[in-house]
Amino acid sequence: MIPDINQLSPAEMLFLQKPNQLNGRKMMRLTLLDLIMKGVLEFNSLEYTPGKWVYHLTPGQYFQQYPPLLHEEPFLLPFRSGESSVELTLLINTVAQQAQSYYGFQYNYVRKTPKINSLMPKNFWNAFHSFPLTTEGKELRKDLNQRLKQGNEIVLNSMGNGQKRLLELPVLLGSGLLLIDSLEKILQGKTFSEDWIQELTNAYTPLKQLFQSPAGADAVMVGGGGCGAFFGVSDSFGGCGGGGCSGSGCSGGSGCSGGGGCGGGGCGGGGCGGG
Amino acid sequence: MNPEQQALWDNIQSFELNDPQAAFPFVQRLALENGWKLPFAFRALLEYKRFIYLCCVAPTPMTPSDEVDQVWHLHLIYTRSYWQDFCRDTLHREIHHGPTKGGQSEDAKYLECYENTLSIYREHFAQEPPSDLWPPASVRFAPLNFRRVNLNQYWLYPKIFRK
Repeated sequence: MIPDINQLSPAEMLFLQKPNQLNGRKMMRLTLLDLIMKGVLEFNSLEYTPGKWVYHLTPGQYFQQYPPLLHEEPFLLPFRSGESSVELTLLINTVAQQAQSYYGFQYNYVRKTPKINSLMPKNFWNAFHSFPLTTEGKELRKDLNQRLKQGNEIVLNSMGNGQKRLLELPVLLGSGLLLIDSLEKILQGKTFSEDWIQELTNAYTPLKQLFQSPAGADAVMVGGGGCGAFFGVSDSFGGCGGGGCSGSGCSGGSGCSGGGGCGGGGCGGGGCGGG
Repeated sequence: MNPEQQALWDNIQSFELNDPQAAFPFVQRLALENGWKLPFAFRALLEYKRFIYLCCVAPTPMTPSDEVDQVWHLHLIYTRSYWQDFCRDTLHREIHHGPTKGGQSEDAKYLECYENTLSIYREHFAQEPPSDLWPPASVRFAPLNFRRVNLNQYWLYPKIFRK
């Protein structure tokens, strides 16, 4: 059965649109934005020290009842472990490590969602990471491109006047509205009465900055052991942040504090108990 | 779980191990020090919380897997978080870490305790403990030879033949 276009997630739509391009990084950003827009996760900005903003994600009001798609699950994993707030860079790194790389996110997660799978037949070219679309897939892509063009016109027309027309976007494209090229222009510094678009406005620019990267960076493998091996995500977000990642000692240069030192014998081979 | 146990579990599960203001949060340090990936470290946090819950409700002493034990060790280093925020304010009891005294009788005791822990885990959480974080006792108590190594000074290569 051919899926309805506005039932696809934005990452799936991007895959459908350009199945043979490296877009893992963008897919990751779109997926997170989509989860924020749907109220599954909530985006929070906090200014702990003047001028230095820290971004956190917390479970949103629909977190419990939302059935995640395959490529959305890694974003929810820390919260399923009981965390109530996760710093943005840490969350992105967790997802990237789970997927092995940005391309891994595209190849192993987005491509393998049932809707996308049904639009791409298994064939010889898959071995070369080339994914021709079925006839239905091509039709759907055509429909998507038309709707995106229409969506783009709505956004351009609504600038300066008629913000109400923006409410047509979810009907036209579902969360695929995130793929509209001109969307960014209307989001900056605006206040909206609709929750979904206000959430989008809050998160759009920080996320865009976080995922900015040189061309072709999608092909670079991330992951590896621990956090030191990684962080092509963004220089401006400072990788592990501050200190502590260089490897030795306690966190961030300050060493252990407290009277007794922090030696100790460990458990040897036999294990240990508590109770 | 009865309602009282459920309330305890909810408190434990929502306990924040990662300081939201920390530039180098607990989970990241856990991953770095153990050579784990972050998703694994997050899962290990959950299993640690489950273990502590079992310590509170089980009538007999509990023994963690090595992975869970590493989370416990790290948490114990954060003394204020462990003793004040966690034990005193969340669990309302002290959970002490008791390393083995060594010897065959201790080995046998901990092996039995570990088997018992797995069985109580199944009973309380109505699911199998994940095998990568709670391996079978034969793997858990296989000979280990861990040592702290400065990777800036040494290269590490896996042995071709491993025990």
